[in-house]
Amino acid sequence: MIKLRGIGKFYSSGFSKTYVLRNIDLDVHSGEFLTVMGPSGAGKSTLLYIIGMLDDASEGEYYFHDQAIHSLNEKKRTLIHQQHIGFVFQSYHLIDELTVYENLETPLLYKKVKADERKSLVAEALDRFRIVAKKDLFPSQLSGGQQQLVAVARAVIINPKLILADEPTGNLNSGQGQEIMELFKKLNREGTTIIQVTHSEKNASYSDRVIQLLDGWLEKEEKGPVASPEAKVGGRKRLRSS
Amino acid sequence: MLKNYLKAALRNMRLHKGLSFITIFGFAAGLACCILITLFTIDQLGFDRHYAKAEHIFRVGIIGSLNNKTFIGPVSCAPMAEAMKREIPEVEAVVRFIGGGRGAPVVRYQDKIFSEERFYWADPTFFDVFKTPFIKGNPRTALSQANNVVLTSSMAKKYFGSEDPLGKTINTDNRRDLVVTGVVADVPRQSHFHYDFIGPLAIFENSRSTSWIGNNFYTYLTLRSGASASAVDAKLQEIVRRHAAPQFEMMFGVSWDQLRKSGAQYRYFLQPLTDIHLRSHLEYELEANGDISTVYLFSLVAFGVFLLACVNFVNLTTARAATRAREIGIRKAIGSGRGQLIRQFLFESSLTSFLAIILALALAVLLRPFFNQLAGENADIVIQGNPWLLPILLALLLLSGLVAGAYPAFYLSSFRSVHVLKGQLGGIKGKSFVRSLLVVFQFTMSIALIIGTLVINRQLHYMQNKKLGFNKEQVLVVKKTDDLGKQVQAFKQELLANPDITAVSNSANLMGDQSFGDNVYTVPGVSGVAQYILWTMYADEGFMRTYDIKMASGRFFEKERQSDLQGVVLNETAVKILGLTDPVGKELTLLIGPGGKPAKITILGVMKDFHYQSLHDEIRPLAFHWFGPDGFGRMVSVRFRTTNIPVLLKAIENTWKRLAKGQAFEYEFFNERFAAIYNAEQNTARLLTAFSILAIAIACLGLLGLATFATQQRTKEIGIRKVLGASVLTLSRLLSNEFLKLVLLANLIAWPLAYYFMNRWLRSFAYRTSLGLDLFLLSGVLALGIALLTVSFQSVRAARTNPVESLRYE
Repeated sequence: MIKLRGIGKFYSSGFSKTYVLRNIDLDVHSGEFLTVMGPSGAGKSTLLYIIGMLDDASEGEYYFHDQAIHSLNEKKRTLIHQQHIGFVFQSYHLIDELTVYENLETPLLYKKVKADERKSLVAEALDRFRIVAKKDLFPSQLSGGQQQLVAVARAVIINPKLILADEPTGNLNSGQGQEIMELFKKLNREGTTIIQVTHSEKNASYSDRVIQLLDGWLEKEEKGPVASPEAKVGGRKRLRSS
Repeated sequence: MLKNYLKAALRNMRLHKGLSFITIFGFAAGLACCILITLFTIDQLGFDRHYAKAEHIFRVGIIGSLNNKTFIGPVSCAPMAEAMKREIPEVEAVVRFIGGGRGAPVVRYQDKIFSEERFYWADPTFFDVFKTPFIKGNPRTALSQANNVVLTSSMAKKYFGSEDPLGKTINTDNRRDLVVTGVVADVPRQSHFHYDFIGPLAIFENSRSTSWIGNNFYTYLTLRSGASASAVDAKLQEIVRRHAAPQFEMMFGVSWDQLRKSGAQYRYFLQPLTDIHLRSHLEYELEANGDISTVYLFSLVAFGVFLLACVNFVNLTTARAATRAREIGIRKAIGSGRGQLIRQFLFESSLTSFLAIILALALAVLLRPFFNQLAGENADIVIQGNPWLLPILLALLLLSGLVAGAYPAFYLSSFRSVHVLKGQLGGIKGKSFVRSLLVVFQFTMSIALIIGTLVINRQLHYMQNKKLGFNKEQVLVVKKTDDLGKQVQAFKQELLANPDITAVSNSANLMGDQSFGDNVYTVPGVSGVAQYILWTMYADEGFMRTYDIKMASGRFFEKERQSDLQGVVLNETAVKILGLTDPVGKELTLLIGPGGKPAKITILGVMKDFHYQSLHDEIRPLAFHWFGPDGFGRMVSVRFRTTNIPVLLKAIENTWKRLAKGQAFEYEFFNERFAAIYNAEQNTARLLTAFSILAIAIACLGLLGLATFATQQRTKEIGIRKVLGASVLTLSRLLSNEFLKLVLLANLIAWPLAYYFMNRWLRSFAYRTSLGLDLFLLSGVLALGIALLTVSFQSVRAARTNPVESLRYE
């Protein structure tokens, strides 16, 4: 599904280049659940945004379903992005001025989905994520967990092939975080490819495969299948207690 | 999708109430100004178009020049009208008339007596040229008899109430009875002349004159459709050659060609009716006309204010970018293309302009009375029901949405979502070159306007205080004294008996009048074509004393010397022009004296030059003639020496009532009347003052908004600096400096700009104040002060916030 070859990202300042990503080769298959880990500043988010087509790579090649993204113009990229990719962020990033209902509706508007279909899709999503009662509230009136739930619903509503999640549980307490991760796992089982960036071993344990980034380099790949989530919960507990 | 945009936009506005208000209000103020000025411009361009076939109507004017002195007037000679009708086939109808100030009679009907200023005397063809709907009577025959009169409906009401005016007889000046044969609608405001009565021109003997040399009649003509005005113009010159040239040759004793070769000129020209109001500013205009340069100035200002308002909008919108950045990022992340974002922000700015336009409309309605006052006497714009209003509003909406919306839309939509989504709000650069440029532009305009205002006011002050060579204070002018006839002598005698009155004078003109008569003089013994046009004033012997004019040599007229009727008093400029040395006692020839024949006159004295016209003009040569015991003029000037004006007025009025047989007592103070010659400048000054205030207000609103955002964005920096020990003062200075630098730069640009324009404006005055550096410094300091006040309000507040709060905020 995703094929990265020699992807690099740098910022030039004066005569020197500061690399954020270096020579990344990566393949992600359809239906995979991939975790990107690494210390702060390793380039995890940048990699995620490049895959999500919100950012350009400075060099290298990027194929999405065999389409050469690196040679497409912005308009075509936006089209692919809005058809196939859903985003979930650490700080939810709902539009403050819009209600839950309207937040869910917005991506469908950009996708130019017809009004009645839009209505049924939003209703379905509200139902599925059990937030029907919240549909007329503004984001500021929701708890963090509820906001992230809405954000996931918004990502899922366009029925994306790929969900990109940037520290999706970073601002949540453990209960809320677990709920979200279970949700991802469920979506993944239903066939959605998921790439998440996280610091949390526990979250990583939900995925099939973990890659490590360090100073922009792809360090090592742990090939899955990883241990079951249940086992990893214990692991996390150990980490905490130490 | 629009609904989604609309909701986001409206809720965003509500979230930032103060700033949205500043944005919309600033925009609305500019737009209101545009609405008013556009309506004004349309109004001014629409003058005289209500007459049928207005574009085929022309006025005949004259350019005559002798010895480099030129007279251009909107008048022509008595036989011209008939000659044109006879000899130029393109001419369909032609009419002559006189009226307005001259020949204003007292009209009587039964017990109703009024002095009428707008009584016109015209040929029977008047309504053939100025096609006007008749409420009563027949336009074709209404003026056919020499005792007919047509009046307007408001005059019909004034004199006859509910009676039918047709067939009734009114009396003018106790001399003449006229029968009402028609009633027409009142002349619309958008006309360059307004009559209340049209009486027969034929009662004036000189209307049958065959002389081509005196030009006393307003002559208008209608050309047949398809006729070319330039062809008619050429034929006019043939007419002059045929009829006027022989008369000139006889008078001067030299051939027409020789006269022409010596630089003399005598040609008639056509003025399109629809051009008169804005483009004709000759002597003897029927009424004070508007001015195309005022229209240009207003339009320029409107455009400038519109730009200012747009700039403000752009600045405030882009400054708000930081608060919108997150939304933009999210929208991109969930699938919005750049085009969709551009559309969203264009929609938002259109929404803002829409709200602003509604507010602007309300403001315009509110400001209309002030504006009409600013725009001068012949402007009276209406807003409600104006057919132009909707198109103007739509055009402004479209234009402002586009001009003000385009840049923010492209700017905002270009944000990279990555930074903001990662939570780095600082990813949006706080400083923007474009924004700084726009602030500089706003302040450049404001400062230039302030300088302009100061210069104009200083020139006005200069003109009002310059020594004019006569004393304009403490003089009262009693008007329409020609109605007293020879009784005026008795009137003056009685006034002089009053101890509060030191001098009185009856005269035909006064200083500051729009036009004076002129005569052609020659110096005997000088060979060749040595004719000189001198402006002339007619007055009695008291004039010099009443106005405190000083003599340079010789004497003024004296009451007992009958022979002074053949005398003349010149001003110094006239002596210079005539090339005389030791002029007193020398003789001149008045080319057209009493009875139309050349007459010898003696120079009795020379007055020191005094400014009898506006300071726009160099003092022109002037010749004073004496009324003598039998002559009388339109006003009596009364010099008084009391502060108890009501008592003085009562005394004069009593005397007037006894002698004037019930005619209304009308008066004005000379200094007020004289000040009217600078009405145009006063208007311009008021206008510029108003717009300077508006401009600087808009600029400050913008600055306030920008400062708010700049400080918001630097909250963290301020917090850190405070933790490191910076004081409130140094912090405020840090925050204000950035903007003050821009205002300083604006000064540097505005000064030469203002210097150039104001220097040009001042050069239209022959006597003018200097363009001192102090004005520039003052404007600069003023703008800087206002800007500082605006910005420091924000910076001090920011500098005083608790650093703990601002740092936690991040």
